[in-house]
Amino acid sequence: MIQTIYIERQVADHPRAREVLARFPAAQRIDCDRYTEIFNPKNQNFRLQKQQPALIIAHKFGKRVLSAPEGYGIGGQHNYYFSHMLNCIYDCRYCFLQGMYRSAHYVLFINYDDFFASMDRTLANHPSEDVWFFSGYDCDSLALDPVTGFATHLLTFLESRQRAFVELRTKSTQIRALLAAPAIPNAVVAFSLTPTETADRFEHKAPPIAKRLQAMRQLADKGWPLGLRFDPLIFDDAFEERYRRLFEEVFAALAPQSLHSVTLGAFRMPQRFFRNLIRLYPSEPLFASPLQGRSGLVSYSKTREEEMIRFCLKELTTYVPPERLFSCSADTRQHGNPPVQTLQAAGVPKR
Amino acid sequence: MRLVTALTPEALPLIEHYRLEQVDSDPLFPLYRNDTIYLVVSGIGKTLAAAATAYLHTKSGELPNQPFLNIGIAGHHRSIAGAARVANRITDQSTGQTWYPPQIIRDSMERSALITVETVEREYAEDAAYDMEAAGFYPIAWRASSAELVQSLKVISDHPGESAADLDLQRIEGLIGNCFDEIDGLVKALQDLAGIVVSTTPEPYRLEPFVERWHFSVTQRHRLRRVLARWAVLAKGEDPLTSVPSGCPSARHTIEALENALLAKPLDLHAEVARPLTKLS
Repeated sequence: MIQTIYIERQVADHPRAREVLARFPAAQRIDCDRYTEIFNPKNQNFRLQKQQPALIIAHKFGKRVLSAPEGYGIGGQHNYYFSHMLNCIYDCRYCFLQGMYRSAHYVLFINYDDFFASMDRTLANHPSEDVWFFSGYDCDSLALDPVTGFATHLLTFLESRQRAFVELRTKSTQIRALLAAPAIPNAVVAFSLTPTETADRFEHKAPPIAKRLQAMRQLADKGWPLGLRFDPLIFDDAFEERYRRLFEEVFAALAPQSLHSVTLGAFRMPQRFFRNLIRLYPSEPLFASPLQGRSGLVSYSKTREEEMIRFCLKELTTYVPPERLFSCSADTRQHGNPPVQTLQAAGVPKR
Repeated sequence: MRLVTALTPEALPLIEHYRLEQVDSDPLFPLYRNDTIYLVVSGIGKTLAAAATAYLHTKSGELPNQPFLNIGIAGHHRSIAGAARVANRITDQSTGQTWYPPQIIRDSMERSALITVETVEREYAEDAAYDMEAAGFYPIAWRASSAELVQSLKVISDHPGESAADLDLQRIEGLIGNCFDEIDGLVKALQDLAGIVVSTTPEPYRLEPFVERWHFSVTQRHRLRRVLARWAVLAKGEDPLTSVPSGCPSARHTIEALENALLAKPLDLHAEVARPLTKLS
């Protein structure tokens, strides 16, 4: 339950801001000029703020739609990302947001229409071509949707723009807005999954894997294109056994034809973020496990990463056609220095 | 726990309840302490509050992640004398600078904006509390600790119908003393919060047994420190020196031996966190 809401004075009278405020009548409201006054200062502790994060309602200025790194995508040629929120209601121990942001408060940018206008401008830059927009880098796309109502607005926008494709990346079961709307082919609902024990251990406050699969089935029954995101892959001595069981569980629940795409990516993180994570969680065995610095990232050794990906691809090809499988390989990743916001995502085409 | 008050009457109920004893006979600022709590009396005004907070931090060992709480009386726009308020926004009226102490403690205490003024407030124009120290205290304490652990609690003493000029020392002591339960609740909550950071930091293995036997460059010392930190988490209380061959020729080989020993260990991420064998002195 949100107990504190910061609100930028300039959006205080925005109807959407009022709707959000009305959902939390007991929350204390604190006015501010810019969300950055609360979100950006130094000497904040992400871990402590996760005890009771506040909500910050703000206006997003500047670039709202950004280019995804070269080579990124799930089959499309033009790839972009956007973030109507910063931070996530879940507390996944491996998440790069902990290392990237100083604050764990949730920032909600309520000028949705400006995001859509930016997407329209991006579409106009690629006439007659499909364009992919990825949501869910800096937040979970759906977890706070009952509060934000963003998905409903986005789907309305997408209905009349068949060239605009969106990936909604989530661990949540907040799919009411999707179930209430007719399925459209240009919105892929992508669920992040890890083995049950790994999710229990690292994905604090996130719905259990069984609940996520249940939500996926509901969406599949309604005709929504689905994505599976096995990212990050987390290694320990039981890696193969855990992931084999996960794949069995997933494909016992889901028909492969309901899947738009499946992506894989081993745990990896910019070194600066990783150092911050160690400071926050010095006793976390995951961060003490065998990881290496490579090309500005902390990841498993190249050999181990390739073994993990190879194993998963081999297992997954028994369920999924190869053209729907994508993985993030070390070799591809080393080509450039992609924006940090994108590093959590997999999806660099395998070929 | 580090407490900052402006006046001795504000400090007296705290000194009594926490059984604090004066530290120095002739200090820069009056300083009191017990085993876990330090208290400084700053005097009136934000400059003194800033100086006393820095003094307190230094005198209490400059430890990281310590909770800081500014306690005192304040005026308020509303007639709520005797009520305690935790500041959720602190504004320095003279500069316009504003801070937002993170509100992450779940309690039933009321919150208020707090405006720090240079002279005693008589207008109380905004719906806020008015004091003379918080804007001096907060930025210094924040620099010394983490924002979540730095808070300001004010007991309302005056308002438009009841002037600060009517306050005497006994009344101030009474106002603070009557809110002791709220103050103590916040002190405990802040201590618990700080405990999350402090209690989960494993005590690292000592570098000395290694640097006495091999020559480590600065970079190698960083690597050694990191591998020993990993060892404290993963190696179940084993002495890392036992994994280094006795005839190991160099610092580089020593680090590699430790890293390889960790690589060879079973990795079960669901296992309990290991306790270290030796402690940093």
